[in-house]
Amino acid sequence: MLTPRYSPAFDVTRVHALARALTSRGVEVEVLTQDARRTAAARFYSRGVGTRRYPVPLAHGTSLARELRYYGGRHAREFDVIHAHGAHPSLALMATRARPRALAFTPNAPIQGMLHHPYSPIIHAVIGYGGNVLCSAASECGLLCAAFPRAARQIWHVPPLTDIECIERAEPIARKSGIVLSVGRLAQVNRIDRVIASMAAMEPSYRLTVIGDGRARGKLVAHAVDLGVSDRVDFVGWVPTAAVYRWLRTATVFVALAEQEYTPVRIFEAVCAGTPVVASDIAVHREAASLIGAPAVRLVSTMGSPLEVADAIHAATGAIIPQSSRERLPGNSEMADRTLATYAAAMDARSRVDVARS
Amino acid sequence: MIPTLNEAPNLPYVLPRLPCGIHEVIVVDGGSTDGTVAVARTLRPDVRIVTQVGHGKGDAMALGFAACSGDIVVTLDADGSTDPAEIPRFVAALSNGADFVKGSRFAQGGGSSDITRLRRVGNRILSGLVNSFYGTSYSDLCYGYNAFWKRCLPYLRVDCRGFEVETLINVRIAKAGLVVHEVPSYERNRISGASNLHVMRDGIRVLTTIGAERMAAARPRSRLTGSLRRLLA
Repeated sequence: MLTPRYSPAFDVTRVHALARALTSRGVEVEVLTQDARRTAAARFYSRGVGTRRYPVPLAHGTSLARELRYYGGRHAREFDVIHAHGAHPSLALMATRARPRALAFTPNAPIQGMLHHPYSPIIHAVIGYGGNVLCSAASECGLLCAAFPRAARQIWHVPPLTDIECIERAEPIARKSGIVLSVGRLAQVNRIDRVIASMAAMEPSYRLTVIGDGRARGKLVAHAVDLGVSDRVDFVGWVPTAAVYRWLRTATVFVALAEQEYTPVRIFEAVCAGTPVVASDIAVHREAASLIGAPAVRLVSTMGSPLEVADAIHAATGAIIPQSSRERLPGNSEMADRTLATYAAAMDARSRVDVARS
Repeated sequence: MIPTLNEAPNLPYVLPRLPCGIHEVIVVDGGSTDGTVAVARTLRPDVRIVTQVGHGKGDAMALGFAACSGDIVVTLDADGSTDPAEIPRFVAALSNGADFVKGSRFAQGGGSSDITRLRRVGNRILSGLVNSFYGTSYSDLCYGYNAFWKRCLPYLRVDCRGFEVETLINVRIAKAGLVVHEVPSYERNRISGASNLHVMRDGIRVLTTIGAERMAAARPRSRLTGSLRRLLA
């Protein structure tokens, strides 16, 4: 597995969880990653998963560690499948150019953006090589199939991995007020400004906790000050996944108002934690809402007013997530089985290409 | 909500034309000496009088908003230039999903027999400036005939004194992302008396307000923002 970024809490990331799930099924997994904070390469085992971590000189999104490129290129054929994660262009293209036996790619980004420069070469390269593209949402698969109708067999819907056990075990944080929680990159597309604006229409007993960081942080902080709600909005930055789970268990309502999204995993995690969700009316969220049902997920229009968001938060407060909603969430075994099926299909397709060439 | 300052001759053309079924009428009086309050009480015994201690339209509106107890707030001028009979049009727009409804003299069906060419040009320039900053489509920035849900009050936070209050409100609702609809409105000549509006002075105040709000959005705690705000106070 190739993943572009390493973090100290790597062993609770989704890539690592997927690796563990596959390892438990007897698959030998090695994770290759890179880290801008390290100066030396390292190889270690973390919860049964072998990991190679290489230093990359720049934290820039497109930088690729030289040693990672060298190792991947040299040893690609030793692996049955190379599975690249993330929209990191250099990493994904390196995976295709290494001519692996079989290739799988999980974009971890909205397909709408992946179809345009500078990401479109990745999808073309993966599909052209015969690799499989794994999407977390059926609507994302639909977009990709519409763009590549002849490659429909290479586009797979694999439900996102939700660490149900970890979430249910997480200890809620003691709090005195209603917590509205937002988790995600601080970017314009995620419309955290709407959530901040809705706080002005809510009682002072509600506080907004924003987990995440990004370029829009300064503007969002200024927006909160400008609206006079900065005393009720907390920007906590990025926190480890275990802490995110604790916040999900603590929150009164989880809010996801992004205009574009590629995965419903945050909604699944919130529902797992027993927290009702207010989400924007986009395809991925509609898909999650139809799976989980009301009152767990309420949808608001993407162009609506912050008053509409405030009303939805009020309506969602105190809603009890029925057990039937949680039972409908796809389990990790289903996710692991689907992933293995995509690997098998990629290997099968690749072997036919090799036979045809020989 | 009607701010007044020596509007006794004009109130007989305003208060009786209010539609039926209004929850309350608030008159914010800025110390009139011509019997405005008595006239208001005679015309409408159920009127609520709020006495303004400070000065200026902005200050009056802030007081009036704080006193409102209904679900919908409508701001009217007391000089007879705005027609209370248009209120149902505003309320209908609110019922159709708007958070804030702006009257516009330049929307199709609107008009004005009071506006001068200089004010028209100035209004256009200032509206264009706000539209370019905030992505809005205001056609009439400096018109005080508005209606909104009372829930919008936390976004208005009126903290200015003068005629720039309408611009301030329009900019703040745009920054908050509230849904704004415009409805056509006809502005008639003032019935009697002289306006307190001074074109150049108030135009500069409006421009300064736009600048201050723009700076506040970018750097809310900067010294320049504070200076602009003190200039307006």
